[in-house]
Amino acid sequence: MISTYLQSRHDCCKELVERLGKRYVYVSVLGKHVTGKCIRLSTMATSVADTAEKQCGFVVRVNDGSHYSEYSFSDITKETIPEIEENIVRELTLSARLSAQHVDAEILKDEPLVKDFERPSGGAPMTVQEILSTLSVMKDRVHAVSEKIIQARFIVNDYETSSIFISKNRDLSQHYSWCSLYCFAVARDGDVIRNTIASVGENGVRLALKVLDGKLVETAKLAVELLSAGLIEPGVYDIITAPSITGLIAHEAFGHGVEMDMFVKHRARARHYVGKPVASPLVNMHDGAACHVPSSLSTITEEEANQDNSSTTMPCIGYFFDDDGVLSHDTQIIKDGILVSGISDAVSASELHTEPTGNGRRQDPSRKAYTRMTNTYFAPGKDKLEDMIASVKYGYMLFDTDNGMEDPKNWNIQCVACYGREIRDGKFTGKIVTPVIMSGYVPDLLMSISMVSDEWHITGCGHCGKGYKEWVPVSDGGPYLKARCKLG
Amino acid sequence: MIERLKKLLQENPSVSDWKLNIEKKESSELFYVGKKLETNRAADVISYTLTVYTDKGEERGLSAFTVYPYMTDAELSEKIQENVFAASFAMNPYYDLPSGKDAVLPESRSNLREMTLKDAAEIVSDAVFAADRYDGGLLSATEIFLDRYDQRILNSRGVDLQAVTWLGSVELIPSWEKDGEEVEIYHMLKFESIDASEITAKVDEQLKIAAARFEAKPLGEVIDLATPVRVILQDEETKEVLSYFAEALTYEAKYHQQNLYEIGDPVQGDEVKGTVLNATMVPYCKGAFQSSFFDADGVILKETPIIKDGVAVSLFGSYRFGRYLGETEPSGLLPILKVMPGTKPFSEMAKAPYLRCAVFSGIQVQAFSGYFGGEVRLGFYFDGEKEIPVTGFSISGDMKQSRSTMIYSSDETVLGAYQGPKYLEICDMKLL
Repeated sequence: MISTYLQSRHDCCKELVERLGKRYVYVSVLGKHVTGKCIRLSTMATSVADTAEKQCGFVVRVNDGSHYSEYSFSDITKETIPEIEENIVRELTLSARLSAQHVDAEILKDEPLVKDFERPSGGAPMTVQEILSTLSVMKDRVHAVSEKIIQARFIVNDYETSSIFISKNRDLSQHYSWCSLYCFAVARDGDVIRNTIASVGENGVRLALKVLDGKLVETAKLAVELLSAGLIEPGVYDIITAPSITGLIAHEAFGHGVEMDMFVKHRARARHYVGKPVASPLVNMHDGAACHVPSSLSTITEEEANQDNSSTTMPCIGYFFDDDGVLSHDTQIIKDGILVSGISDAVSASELHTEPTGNGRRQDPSRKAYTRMTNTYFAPGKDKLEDMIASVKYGYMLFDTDNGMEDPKNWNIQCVACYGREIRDGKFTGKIVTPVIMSGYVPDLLMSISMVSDEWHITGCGHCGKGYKEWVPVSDGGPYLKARCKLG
Repeated sequence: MIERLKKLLQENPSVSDWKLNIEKKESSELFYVGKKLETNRAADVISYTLTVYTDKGEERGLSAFTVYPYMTDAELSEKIQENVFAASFAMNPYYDLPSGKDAVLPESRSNLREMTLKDAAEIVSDAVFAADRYDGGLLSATEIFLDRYDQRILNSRGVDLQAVTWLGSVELIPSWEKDGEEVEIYHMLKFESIDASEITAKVDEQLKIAAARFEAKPLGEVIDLATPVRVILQDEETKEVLSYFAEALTYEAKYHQQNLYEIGDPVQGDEVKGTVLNATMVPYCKGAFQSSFFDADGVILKETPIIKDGVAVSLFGSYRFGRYLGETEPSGLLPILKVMPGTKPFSEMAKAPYLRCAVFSGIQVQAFSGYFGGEVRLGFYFDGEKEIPVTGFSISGDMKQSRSTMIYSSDETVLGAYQGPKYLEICDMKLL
């Protein structure tokens, strides 16, 4: 159920919209309240704090007929409405010179919709005591794998998101929960130190802990195995990407380039490629907060949203409406290798005269909304993983995302995998390397995809920045891909 | 709010200690597409984070939570109790909190004190676009942020410190277009005071870098990538590589047994053929916008040498982990790495062929593996006569090999959290 705090501010927001509506041609208010706990337990330290995703605040968006303006504030009460209104007018009114040159944007559509959305948490909640007790047992299991394990560290980020969106014609609220869980294992042998990470994202802490439990031993064993890993000999190799790296490619190499605020700014090469081939015909790619993965794919339409007040089963970044008040979508970006669509926030869509896709997201209400990815993935194919491995003469299978960086205009790649396993003549040789940096030109990589597995999954506990700021939670993934890439 | 909280905390017998961090942020922001304004924003937000500590014998538990202005006394009291309860399950070895000391902390000398944030944003906007004057070059997107932060830290041991700081940031996307081809680079410009002519000059420099990227050839077309070449890193990448040593010398790394060095270890190996490293962590450096005279625990920060003549001489870091290691006066989290420059000017480095890496997509320096490198979006290959702009390559190296042979320039630079050599010459990096 939506937070009682936001409920208590609902009427104040409505009144503010009404008052500002006398001055501006478009007015909306977004209120967000994200609460929960971040629990950390390691071999040598324990702490409890608010969730890293915590947010509480409001942002007003107005348009005076020339451009969009926003004002962020921490709280609103009946008594402070006149003061907030005065601040908005004072702080957002620009000098004639500054406001003379502005972009041409349509006034945002304000289709009538009054709706409360709710996604129940998947399972009963756990107390801090229960979570710490479970983590303590897990910590001992990680250490039991080897004396070389010097640290086991866990982070549980369990939170609930409530938001309201109010404009002249829209009155929306939503509430949903999510839990991200991380386990780090650190192994040491003399001067050599290696770490590994297992991450789980689920709708509910109980389920997340259960899934993580199945990954503990392999995570610890891998940390020990990596003690003997070396650096890769730079070169061009056949690669097989595990789902985490497939997701990294979908997100960094291509996803950022189809964020349509980049089209507005002429920052994305992809805007010249809509309707053209950008990848092997085996490639299909999606993004959307309404994506149902991996079991099914569907979309929440305005009509369905009006008909059905029950929850939808959403993965990872599963909101019902975005920070612009636009209902979430499932957008197919690449169809059979052809770029068919980008994703967009409301203001960018108004500048491009297209429909927004429910991808307007803010780091928190004190910051601007941009076009942001949500759940980004390549769709599965028909190949069997064992056939893919058998087909590699000499190359590497790459595992576990470390990080990546986008380059939407020039389509260069930098994706970092935590480790790779050597394959020769269709078999793993036992050689392991860490880290592995993939680089090159995006279309070359996507065109080189020659096999796509039928097995796939998505990981829902990452974070993404826009450039080097504006961090929001994201998920990505997909099937195993066979491709060819420069590794270093 | 503060007095209410103090009273409620005093009334709860299970609260052994507490810490309150308050941050108020006001901002004025302008977002441009090309030279046209898309959005202007203003923000006035405040956050209170309260940490409660509860003790059991030789152990101490802690729980931190956000306090909202809307909370009633009853709600605050309940929240405090809820977190004391949570803290009682998050027990750690006992450590005390920093105590309040009389200290006169310097005030910010930013010229942003003298104007409104909205006026400042307009001045910065004018300065930025004054550089946008090239036929082929343009700023395809620009975001301007002017922020004022009011920070205050209080604890139950008498700490009560506050500071007002200003920060200006400009996210630039300089681009270059010709005959339907286009390239761009990314640059974030940050400053604590406004100097309009300096801003214009820095934007102009970035537009010229975009022009160079447009002209850049794939490195593989200019040289054989298998041929050894001296690599020169600069500015942010120099800082990232040299930070490898500082990050290995924190109390927290040592406490968690993840420290790469012990006090007395030669951090560059036994035989140093390059520049011998001298590094100090400092609270303040003019022009380094991450300067701070106290940290989030309320420790008043002072200069701490960490490496002298290539040998680790001290650890630094958070009060808690310092106390765990038996430090009587932990240094606190010092923000600025100051490295003594070398003796070789860039003009000397430039007397023989080199590859100067100017724009990375994001350099990686991995402490555990020692790997460092990444994709270079713009470099300059000097063939002995002229610099040729190059692109489309990656570099990779191993800190454990390169640390003893790196040469630091005598040319200096000041960045957000760094003062030291501007250039770093490395002989044994691989090109791809």
